[in-house]
This record gives sequence, structure tokens and C-alpha cells, in this order.
Amino acid sequence: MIFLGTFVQCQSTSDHNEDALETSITMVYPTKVVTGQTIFIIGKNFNEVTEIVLPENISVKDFERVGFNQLSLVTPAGMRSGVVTIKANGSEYSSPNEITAVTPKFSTIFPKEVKTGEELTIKGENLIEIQQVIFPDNVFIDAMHFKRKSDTEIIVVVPSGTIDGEGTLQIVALSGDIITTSPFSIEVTDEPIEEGKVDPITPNTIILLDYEEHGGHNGYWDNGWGGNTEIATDPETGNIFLRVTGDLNNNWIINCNHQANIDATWPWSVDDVENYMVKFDVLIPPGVDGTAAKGMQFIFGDQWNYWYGDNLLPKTTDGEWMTIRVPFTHWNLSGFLSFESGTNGLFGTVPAGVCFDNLRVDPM
Amino acid sequence: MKIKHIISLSTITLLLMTGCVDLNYSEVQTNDKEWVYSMPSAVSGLVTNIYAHVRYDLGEFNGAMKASATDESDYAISISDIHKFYNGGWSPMNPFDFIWVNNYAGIAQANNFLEELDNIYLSLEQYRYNVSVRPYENLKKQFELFEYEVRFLRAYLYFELVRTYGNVPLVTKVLTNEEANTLTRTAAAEVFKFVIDECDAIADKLPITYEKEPNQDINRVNRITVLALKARAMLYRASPLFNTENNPSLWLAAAKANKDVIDFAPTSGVEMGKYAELSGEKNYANKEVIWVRGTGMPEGWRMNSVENFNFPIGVENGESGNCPTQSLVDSYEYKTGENQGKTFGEVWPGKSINLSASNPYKDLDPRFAMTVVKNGDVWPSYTEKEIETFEGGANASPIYGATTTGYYLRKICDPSANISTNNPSPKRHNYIIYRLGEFYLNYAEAIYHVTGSADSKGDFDMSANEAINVVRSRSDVKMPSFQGDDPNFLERYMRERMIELAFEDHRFWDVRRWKKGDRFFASVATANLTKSSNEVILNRGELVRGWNNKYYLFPIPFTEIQKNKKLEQNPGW
Repeated sequence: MIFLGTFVQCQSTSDHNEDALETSITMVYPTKVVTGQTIFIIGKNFNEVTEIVLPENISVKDFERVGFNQLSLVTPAGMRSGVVTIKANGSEYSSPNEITAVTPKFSTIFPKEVKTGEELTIKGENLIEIQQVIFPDNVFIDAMHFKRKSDTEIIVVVPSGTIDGEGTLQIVALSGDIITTSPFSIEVTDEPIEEGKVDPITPNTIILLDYEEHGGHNGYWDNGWGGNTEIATDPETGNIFLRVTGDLNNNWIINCNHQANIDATWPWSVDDVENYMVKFDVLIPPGVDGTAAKGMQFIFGDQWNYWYGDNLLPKTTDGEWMTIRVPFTHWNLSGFLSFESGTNGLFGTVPAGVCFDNLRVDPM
Repeated sequence: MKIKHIISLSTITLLLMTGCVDLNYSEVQTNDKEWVYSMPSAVSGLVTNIYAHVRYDLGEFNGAMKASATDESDYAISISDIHKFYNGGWSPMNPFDFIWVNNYAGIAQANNFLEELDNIYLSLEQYRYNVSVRPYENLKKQFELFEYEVRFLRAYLYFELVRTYGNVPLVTKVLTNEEANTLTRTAAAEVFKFVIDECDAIADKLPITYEKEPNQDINRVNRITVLALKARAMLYRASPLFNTENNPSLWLAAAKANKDVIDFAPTSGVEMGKYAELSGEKNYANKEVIWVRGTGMPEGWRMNSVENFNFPIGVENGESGNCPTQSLVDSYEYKTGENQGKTFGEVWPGKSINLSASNPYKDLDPRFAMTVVKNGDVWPSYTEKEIETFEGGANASPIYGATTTGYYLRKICDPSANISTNNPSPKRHNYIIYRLGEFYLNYAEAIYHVTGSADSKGDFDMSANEAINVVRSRSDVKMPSFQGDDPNFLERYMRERMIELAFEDHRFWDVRRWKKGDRFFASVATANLTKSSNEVILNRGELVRGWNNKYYLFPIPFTEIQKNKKLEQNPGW
């Protein structure tokens, strides 16, 4: 246990120590700096400062005053290591510590073979201000979407949409400079399923069937039409969903065409289906094997062109709801696709007990 | 399961010994500096100490929440300090300086930490080959985040100061006493800019989650938390109290920042959860929660003070506490039935309601029952007794300390907590600082000010109505949607915000930033229940509190101005 005590001695309030008004630099922060990075000069009495001089006599007059005691500036190209000096009232004041000009360096990448959805680690030096990583085929990942970033490593998730095969990464520094990594191998796979996770319904979601009652379409209309299904209600949440009550063999699982009965705020079509995925929520009770679901095919707008086959469902969801996602690129689709007319649904073989809800289309 | 961000505190005791206070700054410590910075555990403790300055309002005025200085509630104990917020007892001599004192103390520690970064990293290197302490790589991973956690916390503390005082001294270094005595107040716009710039600088350097971090034991600031601070700060900066010229670009920036939180939520595993799960021992696990502040010792998270303060008088050890007002109850809309969409106040505007002849609470927004305890409810459940709030009832006047409003508080209380002397069951309490629902509301407010239409999306992909409907459509609420371009949208929005965020320390600040104190806080409506032989009658009452525009900002503590004449007082104080 640490006792950190602060104790302030009483001071006369009327007699200000003149030293308090003397200009000085306490520190420059951070001490390792890349081009384009903001550095902070901490000290006192900066009111009269007109110029900041960086190492190698680089003069900066375009700087910012922050509060009582801080100046900040963006480091220009050509930065060198050394002390920082400020000029005020004809005098110069130097920083007690030096800044070190550094550049980002790449050293290695691992693993050398990686699948989409897996983590890829980039090792190097001075990586903390890296702004972007570009995968082959110009798939960008901004720093905000790095899993982690530090001075010595960046961790990213390999995005879908990149190439299948060997490629390199481009690492974009704050200065705009680009570093190219050594080659590595990418295997593009279908979107990985995150267990135990339900994607939210967002304002961008196109809901095809959520089993709630809309405009007179209720459980009678929304049931699977293949037999052995029921419309059920979660007693705790009031959520309505579909439950398979007996084995369904090569039959309708989800089947409805109630688009016209929903006072929907969303369009019933998309212009760029390659940027969308179909989703539904599934709950597999303990003891039921989800991999027994086979021969699955989707139907959109009455079209039976969306064969998926086996392994659409995981073995188990431990009795929790989770979202299944299939990008429309799975069927090599692009451009316009309409869900407005006819049936949207799912057909196949499913064991008893499995529950379905919220067939929907979402942006990737 | 997603690990939530609970700050567990008090493993390290912060001892403040202040004789006379100059912003509580000092570099004098009881431990030798070299010793502290040579010990990785001590360095970690310094960071924890700064986290300890994140305040929480589960009753920070000896049980009274700031909600009871608003139209959300009234505090039942008449001698509580909370009443000074409106009864003339608030002044520069009695300044409610808890935010000033606490936050500047935290900022001083943060500045001190950042000035010692070189020493801190040096201390880490001493352990590179010393596996007896703990794996170096794990230590390194923790240490490389400390800098950004501390910068976040400093920005967070400054945000609280600027929304409380307006202009405040913006200091980023350890001060000598002489320097402290020459400080001037920095313009609020500049302080907001500092907060926002800091968020921009550090957001991508903090992890998305701590699930794979070695220091997930003490849950810490992550990336979406930084976005949340920025978004809330930008909403305040755009609001009338600070945006005095109604600059539309500030609303646009606020809309974007709040939309960024919404858009980043799925990446962080954050999504709308159940309203009921915002209270109770496991509220930290609600998927909607972005950042919570745990209370109490890590080993003894459990305590009963929230329930002691707020369970009704008449329940053993209950003190009545923060009693929801009729003003709040009047704001709830009917979910179904013939009055769907109308508020309680609109449907029952008369001076009295015969509660025996009708049930005005039927079909109300489900959030009402999750927030308010009314006459006849069994509360708390272990008593198996119906609450009696009518005059002469078991939980009502004339018992000293009984509800002054006719209602008791349910939200934030743990319904399973037993506060009896012989059979207590203390519960863990976590104070929610940021949750996703707030940012949908923030966005709705900002985008409406940008477009002037509840239905317009502007340059974004979501209208104000759509944002609010996400909040109203959560699984255990499912209120009818906001639709159309309602000319009274802002009125309805303010009501929605009051209801959704009730007792989460928003109303006190929201009404101030809207500059609507005179309208909402000058008087509050109450209910006085009477019972005759077979009828319970609700009679409307009123608590006149008054309002003075100087209340929009807190007074600078007189003791500080005495020491530093350069600290100008806020208007009217």
C-alpha cells in the first residue's frame, strides 16, 4: 500500500514570488518524435513567446498556446534530435531535456500465413503514430480499428476483401511516408462466426422477418410452413421467434413475404449488394447438434439462387442467441438486389429445438 | 464475455494533507520519488490513484444525489446539504467545492506522472531481466498504456471542471505554490478544445478491449471510452451555455462525434441492453455499458449504503432518500391504450386523482416502473409489504424523513439487497459513467440542431427520430416510435432524455447547458396522497425552490480567490 501525501505549505498570497513569472521550460513531451507529431512544451510564463526553435535551427512561429503553461506545435519534416529553445522578449530559453527524432521502422510480421478474421502482428520500432495499414487490393485499416498499437507492435485483424495469396502490407506513417513489409500469405475464408454474440438491429438494417406482429401478419403467417415449427415467445423479454419442434427434413425453415404489411423505414433493395451480408439469429439448446443442419439454401425475392450447403450453423451456441452472417459475396453477387417481392427465407434440414429470429440484411 | 471497465479503487490510500490549498498542487510526497518510480507496483499504484479521482454520484451528499437538486427528485431529509443548491445556502463561502478540490488534486497527480515518464520507463527497464517480479512483457504492456490512460483521466477531470465552472485554470504541469498563486482562468472554449484534442491524440493508442491485456484485473479506459468523453464534451461545447452565439458548426461536430461512438460500438462489443439491467449488482455486465466506476474495496465491493439511503422510511434502516417527483412521473408517456403517446401529466392535469377509481399508472412507459416506487408496490421485495405513501401510511408523513413527493426511488437500488440489521445482504454497486443509450440521445439532439428536422439525416445515415427510436425500442421498453417532423420535437426530446437518463447525473447538467433552469428547476411538482375509508386520492403539490441564473455555473471557492486574486469570480456570485 502506498501513501502518497500532498502537503501544501501556507504561503503569503499578496507577495508573489517574481520567479513565478520568469519564463522557463520544464520539459518537452514526448521525447521521441516522428515527423508530423504534436509535441508539447511545458513550462511557465509563455505569454511573450514568439518563436520556437527546434534542433538544427528549425524555426517554428506557427504554434499554439494551451492554457497556462503549455505550447504545442506539429513537428515539421527534417526534424533532428536535440534541445528545444523558445524566444521571448529578446531572450532564449532551452529545454532541460532533449527530443529524439525517430522514424518508424518495420522488422517482422507474423504469422507468415494468416486467414481473414485472424490477428496479424507487425513488429518494428517507433510505430505508435502509425495511421493506417493497407492490405493487398487496397483494403485500408485506420489506426482506430487496429486491435492494439504500441511503439513496437501493431496488431490488426485480416479483413475480408483482401486478396487470397501472397502479398505485403503498406504501413502509413504520420508524415505520409509508406513502409512496405515483407511478404506473407493470406487465405480468404468466410466471415468467422463469433460465438455468443448477437449483432444489434441498427437503423441501417433491412429486416426481412423478425416474427413480431406487423400489420396483421402474426405467428400464423410467419410460421415456417414446413410443419414442425412453432412461433414462441420469450417470457422474460417478450421477444417472438421461431422454434423447430421436430426434425425438419429438406423443408421450409423461415418463410414469409410480409414486406407489404410492415410500415418499414428501410428500402427493400440495395444497390451494392457486395457491401452487405445476410444475417439471422440462432439459438441451439444444449444437447442439440447444430452441425446436423444440412443442405441449407436462402431464398431472396422468390429466387432460389442462394445455395449454402452444410455447416451454416455452429455445433452449439450454449443455449444463447448468436448471429450467423453470410456476406452476399459468398454467391459472388454485386450490384442491385431486391427483397421486395415474393418470399425471403431459408430452406433445409434442421434438428428439433433450434430457434431462429431476425432474418435481416446489414451493411458489412 | 466482454470484460467491462470497472475501476477498482482504494488499494492505495491517497492521503491529502492540505494546510492552505492552492489548487491542491504540490510536489511534496511522503515517499521518496526515486523509490516510487523504481517500483513497478508503485508506478501502477500512481495510476490507480488518479483513477480514484473519477467521482461517482450514488449519493455524494451523504446520501443525496444531485438529482435531488433537480426536478427528478427531492431529498427527504430536510437538513441535507443538497437543499442548499436552491435555498440560498450556496455561496462562494459554501461553494460545494468537491469538484474543484477533487479534480485539481487528480490533475496534479496526472501532471506529476507525465513529467516523470522518463523515470517510469527507466524503472520498467530495471525489470527486463528480473522474472521474479512478473513477466517483463506483461509489465511493458501495462506501462505503455499508462501514459494514455493518465492523459485521458486528466482530460476527463478537466471536462468536469469546465462544465461546472466555465473558465478554469488549464494547467498541465506540476506547479509551485508561487505559480499556483498567479494562475488565471482559461476560456472555456480553450479548455474544451484541450479535452477534445487530447481525445483525438490518444484514442487509437488505447486498446479496443482489455480482454487480452495483462492488466484487465483493474478495468481501465479503452478506446470507445475516449470517444465517449470527446462526444459528451462536444455536445456540451455546442449547447447554449457554452455556445453563446449558437455556432451551427459546433452542433455538426457534436453530431459527428456522437455518431462515431455509435458506429464504433459494435467493434467494442457494445450494444443496447435491457433498461432493467442498468441497476443491480451485475449492471457492469450490461452490454450497453461503456465505462463504469466500481465503488468500495475490490475485496469488498458490496455495500448497502445506496439502499440504506433510498429504501423507504418504515423499512428497517431505510432513510427515504432521493424521492422521485411528480414532475418526473408527469413526463412518462403511455405505451398502449387510448392514451398512447400522451404523458401522465397531459392525461391527468387536474389537482387530484382518485387512485381507487382508476389506475393512472397502467400502460405507462415500462421505464416508470423500473425507476419509481409508487403507493401499493411491494418494495423492497423481501419485506413482502406494500408501500403506503398516503398520509398516515407506514411509509409516509407524519413520520419524520418520509417521502416529500409521494414516491420512492427504485432505479440504482438493488432490489435484492436486504438492509435489515439482522439479515443484511450488501450488494456490489457500479456507477455508470458512459453507456450507449446516452450517445444515441446526444446524437439526436445534435443532428436536430444541424438539420432543424427530426426526420432529416443531414450528412449522416441516421435521423434524430431514428436515434431516439433505438433507445425506445430496447427489448424491455419497446415504446412507440418517434415519427414525423414534430414541431415540438425538442420538448419531447428533453422529456425522453430526462426519463431515459433519470438518476444518472445528467439532468443537473443538461438543464444548465440548455440554460433552462428557470423553467425546470424553479419549482417541482409533488404528490400528496390521502386515504379515506376506501379511497386513495393523489393531490398535486408543489415545492417552490426558485432559480437564479448564477446557478448555471458554480462559484469559484472564496478560499481560492483569497489566495489568488487573479481568479475572477463567476457572474452573480
